[in-house]
Amino acid sequence: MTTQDTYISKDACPDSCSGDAFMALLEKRHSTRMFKEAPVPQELISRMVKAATLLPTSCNRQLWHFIAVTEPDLKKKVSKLSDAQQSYLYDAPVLIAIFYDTSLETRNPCCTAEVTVGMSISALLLAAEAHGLGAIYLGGIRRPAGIGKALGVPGYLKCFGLVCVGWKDDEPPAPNRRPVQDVLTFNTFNLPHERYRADIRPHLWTLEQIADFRDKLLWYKGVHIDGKTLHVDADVRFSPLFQFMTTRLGLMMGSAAAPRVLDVMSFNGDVVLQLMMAYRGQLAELYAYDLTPGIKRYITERFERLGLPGTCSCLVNAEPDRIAIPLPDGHIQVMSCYERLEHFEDPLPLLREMRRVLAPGGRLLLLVSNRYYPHLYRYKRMRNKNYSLGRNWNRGPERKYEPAQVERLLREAGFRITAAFGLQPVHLKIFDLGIKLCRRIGWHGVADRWADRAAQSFVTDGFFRSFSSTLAYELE
Amino acid sequence: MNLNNMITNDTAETAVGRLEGWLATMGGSDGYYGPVVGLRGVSMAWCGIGHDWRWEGLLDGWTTLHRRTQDAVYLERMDAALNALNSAQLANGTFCNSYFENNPFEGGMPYEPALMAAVVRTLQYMQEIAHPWPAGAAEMVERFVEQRLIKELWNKVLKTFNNWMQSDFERYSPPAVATIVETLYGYAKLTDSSERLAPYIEGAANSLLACQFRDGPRAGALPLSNQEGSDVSPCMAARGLPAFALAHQQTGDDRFAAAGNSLAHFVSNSLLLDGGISVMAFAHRPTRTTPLFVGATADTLRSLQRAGRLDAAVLRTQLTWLLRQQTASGAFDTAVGFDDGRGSRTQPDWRDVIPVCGWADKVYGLLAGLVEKPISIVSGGQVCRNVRVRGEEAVFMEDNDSMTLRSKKTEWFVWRKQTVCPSACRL
Repeated sequence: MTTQDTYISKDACPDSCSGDAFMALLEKRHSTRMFKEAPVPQELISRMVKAATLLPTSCNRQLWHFIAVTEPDLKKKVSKLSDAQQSYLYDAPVLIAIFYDTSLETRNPCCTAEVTVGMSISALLLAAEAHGLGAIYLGGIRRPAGIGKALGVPGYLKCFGLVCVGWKDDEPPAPNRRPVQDVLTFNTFNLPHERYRADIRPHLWTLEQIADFRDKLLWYKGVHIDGKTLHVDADVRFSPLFQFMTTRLGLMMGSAAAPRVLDVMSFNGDVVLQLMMAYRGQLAELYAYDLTPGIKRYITERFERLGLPGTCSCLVNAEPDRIAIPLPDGHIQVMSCYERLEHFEDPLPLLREMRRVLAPGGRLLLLVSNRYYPHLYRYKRMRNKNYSLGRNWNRGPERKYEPAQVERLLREAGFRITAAFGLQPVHLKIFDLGIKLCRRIGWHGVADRWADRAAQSFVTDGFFRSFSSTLAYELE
Repeated sequence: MNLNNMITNDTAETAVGRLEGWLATMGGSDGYYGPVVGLRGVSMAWCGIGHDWRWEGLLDGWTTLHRRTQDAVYLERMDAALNALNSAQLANGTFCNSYFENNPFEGGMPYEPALMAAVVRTLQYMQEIAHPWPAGAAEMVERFVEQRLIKELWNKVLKTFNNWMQSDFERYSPPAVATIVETLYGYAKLTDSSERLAPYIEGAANSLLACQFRDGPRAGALPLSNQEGSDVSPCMAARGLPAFALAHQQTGDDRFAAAGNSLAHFVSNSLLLDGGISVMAFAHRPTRTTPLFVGATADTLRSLQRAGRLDAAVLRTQLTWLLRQQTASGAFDTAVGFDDGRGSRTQPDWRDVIPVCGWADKVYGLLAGLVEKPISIVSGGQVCRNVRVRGEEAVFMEDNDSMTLRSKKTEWFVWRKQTVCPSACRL
C-alpha cells in the first residue's frame, strides 16, 4: 500500500467503507435500457428526488421541479413528444421529467442553471442504482416545450430531459472509460493539445485516436447482443446498400471455389455476419480485421451469442502506429471494405496494405461516400463543428471523396478497376418528388410506374453514377 | 368445403406431379433455392436456400398428402425439413435467410411466424400419427416463441408483437401478428401451456380487432400496419382469417367470429371474377389490380379454406385461372400484369415469369388438398418465353439445370440451379 493509499483510506476518510462503497456504486451504475413491468413504489421515487435536491445548486436557488410520470396514457404522450423512438421510454414504469427555471440566470457565462440540473440528474441516476433500480437519462428529446405543456408546467420552467426509472431487466456490458491520467492534470494543462476527438476532419486524427474512438463507441452504441439492446437503432444490414454489398460479394466469389474472404475494418461485424449467413459452408476462411482488441472481443462475443453457423477469425492491427493487416502477402481472394476510407486523411497506407494481402486475380469490393451527392446533413455538419446531436455523430472522422480522387488513389495503390457503380443515385430524389406530386394530383397510375422504375434504379452504372450517395468499385 | 368437386382429381394430381418435378430441380432436403419476386421487391442476386415461408405450403402440402396417401416419402420430407430448419436457427430464435425478397437477412416478418405456424401444424400431425418428432424440433419452436417472440418482439405497452426490435415502437403489422397468433395457439396446445401464453395470445388477438376497418369500402380488412392511413394488401389481410377462427374457437368470444365474417367478406370481394386477387386497396385511391400474384391468390384461397369460408363458385373460377399459370417446367408463373398494360401484351414483364419457390409452395399447399392417391413426379420440359426487361425485349429460358434471362445486348440473369449466386445478374 502506498503512502497515498494509506492517507486516503485511514486518515482522510474516517469511514473507509463509504469511499469504497461510493466508488463501487459509480462503477456498478450503467444506463438501463430494459425494464421489468413491476411498478416502482412512490417512496423510492421520493428518495431519488430527495437525493437530487441535496446536490449543490447555484446560489441555493433550487429552482427545479421534478414530475414523475406513471400514468400510462400520459407516459405514452410524453414518450411520443420526446420523439426519441426508444422502447425503454415506453417500458420504464416511471419517467421523471426534470424542469428548471433558467430565466434568472440567462447571462451566467458558466451556465450554472444547466450545471445544477446536470448534478441533480447524476444524483437521480446514482440514487436509483443505490436502491437497486435501473435508470437512464434521455436528453436528446425533440420537443421539450411540448412535454412541459403536456404536464401542465408553467412556461418559465424549461424541460431538461427525462430519466426513465424501473427495475432492471438486463445487465448491459460496461462501456470503456478514458483513464484518469488522460483527463486529470495538476496545476496546469500539461497534455498535448488535441482537438475534441469527435471532429469529423480526418487530418486531426492519429491512427491511435481512430482506434481508440472506434473501440469506445462500439461498446457504447453497439448493436444488440443476445437481445440486450445497447441502443435501439435501425439495423443497417437491412438497407439496400448492404444487400447490394452482400450479393455483389457473392457474385465476385462465384468463380472461386471456397474462397478466402476478408472484411476490412469490420467494426461491429455486420458485413461478416451477412457473409456467414448468406454463404455458410462455402467460404474456406473468413476474416474480420479491425484496429483494436476491443473490437475483436465485441465481434467474437456477438457471434458466439448468436450461435452462428460457421466460423470467423478476427484480426487486430499488428502495429500501434501504422496500418498492418496480420496476413501474409496474397492470402485473400475476395475482400470487402464498406465506407472505411472516409476515416483517414491519407487512405493510401490502408489501400496498399489491402493490395498486399490480396491474391493475384483476387477481387475487392470497395464502397466510399460520394462528395458530389447532396448529403445535406453532412454539409451542415461541416459548418457546425459541434455535431454531437447530428445524424451519425458516432462515425468519427469522415471524409467525402470525389470519384476521380478515389480512382486516382486506387490506381496509386496498385488496383485495377473492373467495374464501377453508383448506389442510391440522386435522381431517386427527383423520382420521389415526382411520385409525391403525381399522388397529390391523383395520377396514381403514373406514380405507380415511377415508383416501379425507382425501385429498379438503386444501382446505376450510367451518367448518374457520379452523383450517387455511395460509389462502389470492383477491383483487381 | 370439399375441394374435390372443383377440378378433377386427375388434373390436380398431374399439376402437383409436375410441380413436384419442378421443385426437385430447385432443391431438396436441405431447402429450396431460387430468386424471389415478392410483393415489395425482388431478390435476384442471391438465390440461396431461404428459410422463410417457402416451407409453409410445402409442409402443409406434405402433411395433407401423407394423410391422404400414407406414402412414407412425405414423412421423410417433413423430418428432413425440420432438421434443415433446426440447423438454420440462431440462438435468438430467428432463422438465417428468412426474409424472402430481402434475403439474405434473418427475422423475416411475416415469413418466420408463417413458417413456424406450419412447423407447429406439422408437429401436431406427427403427434397425431405417433410419429416421433425429429431431434431438436420442439426446442426449435420453443426458442422461436420464447426468445424471439416473447423476449424480443413482445410490446408490453401495446400488448402485441412488433415487427422489429428497433425503432417504430408503436407500429405493428396485423398480418404478421395474425400468423403469430396462429403459431402461439398451436404451440400452447402442443406444450400444454395455454395458461401461461394466454396474455400474449389475448393481447395479440385484441390488437387485430383494434385495427380492423369497421366501415367504408375496406370494411373488415386488416391493414398492413396499425398506423393511420395504412394500405391493405388483401392477400396479407387474409392471414387474419385462420387467426380469428382459432381465437373464436378457443375463447368463444363472438367478436372474433364477427371479425372473421367481415374479413372473409372483404377478402372474397377482393378476388377478381376472372381469377387472381387485387394487390392493394388504398384509402384514397382506386384499388390496384395489377400485378395479380398467382401464389398470393392460392394462399388467400388456403386461408379461406382453413377458416371454413371458401365459396365454391369463386373457388372454381380461381382454380381454373391458377392452373392456367402452370408452365412447361411444372412451375407456376409468379404474376400476371407486372407491365401494367404498358408494354406489349404478348410479352410479359420478366418479373411475371420468374418462378419462385416461395410462391409455388402456396399453390402446392392448395392443390395437395385435391389429391387422393399417390402422385407421380413428372420431370418438366424446357421453358422459352419472350419477355420485356426494362423496356428491352429479352428471352427467359428455364430447364432442369438453369434459368437465364438474355436480350441481344445484355445478359440480365444467368443462374445454375441449386447454387447460391447467379453467374450474372444485372437486375
